[in-house]
Amino acid sequence: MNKYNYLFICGVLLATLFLNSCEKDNDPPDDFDPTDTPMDTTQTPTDTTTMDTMDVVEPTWKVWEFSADDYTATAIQDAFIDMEAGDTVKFGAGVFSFETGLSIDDKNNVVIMGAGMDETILDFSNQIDVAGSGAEGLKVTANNTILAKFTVRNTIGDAIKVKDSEHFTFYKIKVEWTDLESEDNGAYGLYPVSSRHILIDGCVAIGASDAGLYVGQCEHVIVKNSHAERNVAGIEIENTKHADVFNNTAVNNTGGLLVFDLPGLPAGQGSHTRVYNNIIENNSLVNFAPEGNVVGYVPPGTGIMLMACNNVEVFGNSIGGNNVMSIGLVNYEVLRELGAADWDDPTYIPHPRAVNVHDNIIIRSNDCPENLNFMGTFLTSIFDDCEMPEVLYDGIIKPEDYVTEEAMCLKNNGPISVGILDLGGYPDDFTPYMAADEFDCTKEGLPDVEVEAPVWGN
Amino acid sequence: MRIRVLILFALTLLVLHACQKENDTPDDTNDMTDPMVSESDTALFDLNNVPFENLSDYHFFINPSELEPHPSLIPYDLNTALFSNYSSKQRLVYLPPETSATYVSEGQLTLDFPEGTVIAKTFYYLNNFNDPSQGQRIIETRLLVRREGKWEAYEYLWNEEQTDATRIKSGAITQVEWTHYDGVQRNEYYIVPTQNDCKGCHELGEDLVLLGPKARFLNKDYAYADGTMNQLQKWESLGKLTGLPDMSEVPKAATWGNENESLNDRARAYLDINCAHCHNDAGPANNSGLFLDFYETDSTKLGFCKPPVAAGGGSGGLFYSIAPGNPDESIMIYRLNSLVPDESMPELGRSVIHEEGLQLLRDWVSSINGECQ
Repeated sequence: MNKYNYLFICGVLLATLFLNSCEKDNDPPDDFDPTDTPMDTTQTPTDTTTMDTMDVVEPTWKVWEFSADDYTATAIQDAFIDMEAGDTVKFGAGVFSFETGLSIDDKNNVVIMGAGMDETILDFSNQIDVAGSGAEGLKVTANNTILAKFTVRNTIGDAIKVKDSEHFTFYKIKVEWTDLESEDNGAYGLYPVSSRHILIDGCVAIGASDAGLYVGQCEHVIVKNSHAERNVAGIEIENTKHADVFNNTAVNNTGGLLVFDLPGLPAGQGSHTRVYNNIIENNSLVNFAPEGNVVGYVPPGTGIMLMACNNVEVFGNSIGGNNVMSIGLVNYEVLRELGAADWDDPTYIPHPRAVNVHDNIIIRSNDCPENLNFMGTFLTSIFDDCEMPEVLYDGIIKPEDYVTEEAMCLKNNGPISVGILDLGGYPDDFTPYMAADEFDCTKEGLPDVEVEAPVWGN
Repeated sequence: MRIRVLILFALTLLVLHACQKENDTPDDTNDMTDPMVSESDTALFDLNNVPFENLSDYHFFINPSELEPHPSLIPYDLNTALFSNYSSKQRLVYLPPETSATYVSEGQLTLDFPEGTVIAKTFYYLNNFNDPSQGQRIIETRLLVRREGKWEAYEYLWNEEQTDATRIKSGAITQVEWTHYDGVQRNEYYIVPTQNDCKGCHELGEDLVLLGPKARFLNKDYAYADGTMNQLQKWESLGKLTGLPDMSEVPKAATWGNENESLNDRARAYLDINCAHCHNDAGPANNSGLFLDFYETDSTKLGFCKPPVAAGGGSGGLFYSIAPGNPDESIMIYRLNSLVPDESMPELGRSVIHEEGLQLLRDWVSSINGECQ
C-alpha cells in the first residue's frame, strides 16, 4: 500500500465522520433570503427526511486559505491539485480574477467555499478566449464534495461543470453573466452531468445562453430554494432519473423550467421528475441561445415545457404571466421537424407520457406574447395571438391513444384551457382544438427522491 | 502545529512505504545476455524521488539548452505526430538499466514499457521554420513516468535562460512567435496544460496511457549518431525491445505529409494520431459514436454520412461528420477549421488551425465517392 492509498483511507474514514449526513430536509437554510421566497401553495408534500445536524461535523483536515488581496491563480489551481480528502479550500471576501479555467479532478471529500454568495467572486471576465484551453470556469470531478458560498462570473463557457461525480452539493453558489441576453455567454450555469446524488440548494443563475441551472444525465437530484432569471432556460432537467425540483423561482427567462429527454445521449431517457412549489413567472425573455442549441426552439413566453419525458408530476406551483404557454407538453418530433437532430435509437420515445399536472395556480396575463422566435410565431398564429390556452399539447399522439398508465392528467389547476395542436397531420391535415375532458384523470403521486449528498454544516 | 503533525505523518508513511518496497518482489528482469553500454549500468535518478522539482534532477540532458540527451536515452520519432500548434517536439525514452519494452500492436495500445520508464517530450519552436540555424525557444517538457504499473504525468516549464525547467502543476499561457514556412511572422498563444488536463487526451478507459509510441507509428527509420536504422529494430538491437515479430508483420502508419503514400493512408494516419485517442470505442468521445482509429473499417463509424450525436453547436449546422466529396458540408472539416472554444477539435491542445493537415483532410473528403440519403 503506498502513501496515497493510506491517505485515501484516512480521508474516507474522516469523510464518514463529517460528510455522512445526507440530504435530509426540505426546509430552506436559515439564512437564505431571496425576497421572493416561494409561496405556500395548496399542497405541501410531506417531508419524509429530516436533517440531523448532530451528524454534521466541521472538516478538520487541511484548510487552504486564499485572500483576495494576496493570491495567484496558479496557487489556487495548485491547491485544487494538491488537496487531499478532507481538505477545505477557503476563499476570503473579494474578487479573484482568472485568465484560464480552474479544474478539480479525481478528488474525494473536499469543500470549496467562499465567504458568501455575493462576497466571494471568482471572476472570469479576463478569461483568454483561445481554442484548446477549455472554456469552463470551474470543471470538477469529485465525490462527497461541497461547493459553497461564492459566485462564478462571466466565464466563456459553462460556469461550473461537474461530471462523473457522486454525492455532490452546490450550496449558495451564484453563477452569472453580467452582459445580459448575449449569445456569447456561456451555455450552462450550474452544470452537473453524468453524476449521481446531486443537491443544488439556495443557488442563483443569471444570464446563461442555454440553461442557468442545468442537470443533465444524472440520477437522484434535488434542486431547491434556488433562483434562475434572464437565462434562456431557467431550470432544465434533462435525461435525468429521479429529480425533485421545489421551492425555486424561475422568472424572466425565455422558458422557466424545462424537463427534456433528448435522443442519442449515453444515459438514455430520464424518468420520475417532480416539480412542485415553485414560482414560475413572467418568462418572456428573448431567446438568445446560439443557433443549433435545442433550447433555441423554446418560445419566449414559456412557463414549463415537458418534452419527451415520462413520469413527471407538476403540482403546487404558481405559474403566472407566461403568455405563450404556461405548460407545454411536447413531442420531440416537433423539434426534429424544425431542424433538431434526428435519432436512430429505437428505444427513444419522443412523446411525453405519464405526466401528472395538478393543484397548480396557473394564470396568464392579457399581454400579447412578445420577442417571439419561430416556434412562438407559429404557435401564436394557430390561436388568436393574445388568447393562447394555458396548456399546449402537440397532439401528435392522440390523447385517446395513450394507454392508461401513460395517460397525461391535468387536475385541479383552476379554470385553464388546453389546446391540442394536432400536429401529426401538419401542414395539410391538422385541426387544432380545445380539450374537453381528454386529460381529466388522476394519478398516484411520485415518491420523494432520495438524495445522499453532503449537507452544509453551519 | 497541524502542519508539523502532517509532515510527521507523511514522513511516517514514507518510511512505511519504503519498508513495504523492500518486501516487494523485484520486477521480472530480462535475461539479456548483452545489456546496454556502460552509461546505463546505473539508473540516472531514483524513481522513489520522482517528481523532482527541476528537470535537471533527472539528468536527461547533457547540454540542456541544446536539448542534447544523455546517451542512455533513446531519441525517437513518429511517422505522423499529433499536431501541437506548430511546435517542434523532441521525444526521448528512458528505460532503466537491464529492462526492455514489449512489442504490442493492437488498437490504441502502445508498446508495453517496464517500471521506471520515462517518456520525455520537449516542446520548442524554431525561430524560423525554414532555417533551424536561427535558433529555437524551448517551452515545456512533459514527462510520463511508469511507476507501480501506472503512468504518471509531470510538467516542466523552461526558464527564460533555457538552462533548466521547473515543475508546474497548474499550467500556463504564454505567447510564441516564429517565422512560418511561408515566411510570415506568426505570434500565437501557447497553452501549457495543467496536470488535470493530461487525461483529457491520455486516457483510455480509466487509465492514463501513452499516445505516440505505438508500433505502427514507431515503424520508421531514424538517423542515429551511428547510422540510420528502423527504430523498432534499433531498440531490439539495444536490448530495449522484446517480442518484435518479423517486420513484414509490423503495421506501419503513413507519414501524413509524404505525397508518395496514398491519400487515404495519410488521412487515416492523421486521424489516428490526432483524433483516435478520444474517438475510439473506449475513449472519452465514445458517446459520439465517431471512431477514427487506424483499424476502424465501418464507414459510418468513420463518419461517412453519419449524423452528429453529441456535437451541440459544434456541428456548425451541418448534417454529417463526413459528407463524401464535400468537405464544406462535413462537420469534421468544420471543427478542424474552427478556433471557437467548444467547437474546435481536438478539444485540447490546439489553438491554431493546422492548415496543411486540414488541406490533407479536405482532399481526402473530396476524394470519397458516395452520396448521403
